[in-house]
Amino acid sequence: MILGKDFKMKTEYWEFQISSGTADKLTISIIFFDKQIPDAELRKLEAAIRLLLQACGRLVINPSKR
Amino acid sequence: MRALDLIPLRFSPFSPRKKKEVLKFFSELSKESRMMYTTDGIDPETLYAQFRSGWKYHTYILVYYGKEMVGLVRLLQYNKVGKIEGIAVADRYQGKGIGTRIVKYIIALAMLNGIRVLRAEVKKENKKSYRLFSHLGFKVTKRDSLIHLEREL
Repeated sequence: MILGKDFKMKTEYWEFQISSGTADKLTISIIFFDKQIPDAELRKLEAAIRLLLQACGRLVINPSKR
Repeated sequence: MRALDLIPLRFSPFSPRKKKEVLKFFSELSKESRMMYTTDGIDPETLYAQFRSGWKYHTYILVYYGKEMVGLVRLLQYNKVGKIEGIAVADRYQGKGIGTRIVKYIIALAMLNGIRVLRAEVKKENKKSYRLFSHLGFKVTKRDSLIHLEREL
C-alpha cells in the first residue's frame, strides 16, 4: 500500500486510488491491468467498494430500521 | 445532527506533521479509553509514540468528521496478512457506529490491497471492541491475556 496524500492499493489485477478530498467528495480511480479478473476477485472489489461507501457515509444498510 | 451512519467521514493518511492534532485527540480521550488503548502508559505523548512507531512501513489513518478528528487506526501488512491495531474513537462519538465504520474502511483497504486474512487483538476487558469485531465477522482464534481475532477476506 502506498501512502502520501492518497491511499493507493494494488493487486495483480488493479490499482485502486482513493484521493483525499473534502468530506463532501469521495474520489476514486481504478486502473485495471491487462489481465482477466477471476469472478471471486471481482466480487471482492465490489464488496470493498460497498464497504468504503458505508464507511464514508454514502451507503446505509436497512435505513427503514433506524 | 444527522444520523451518525449518514454523517460524512473523511479518512486521511497520517504523517508526523499531524502530531499536534493526534496529541490533542489523545489528550481529550477519557482515562478509561486511554487504558483500553495501551498497556505502556496513558499520557498522550506515550500514546502518540506508540501510535506512530513504524508509520513509514504500514498504513496509518486519521478519521475526521468535518474538521474534527474523531478516530484513528493502523493497518499493518505482512504479505497477505493484515493486522488492525490502535483503533480509537473520541469519547463523545463512541457507541454510535464510528468504530464499525472505521473497521469497514480498513477491511475495504485490505481487500483492495490483496490481503487475504485480517487479524486483530483486543484486551479481555474491552467488551466494546470485542463486540465490534465479532459483529463484522471476526472469529476468535486464541485467548490469553488478549482475545485474538481473525477474518478471512
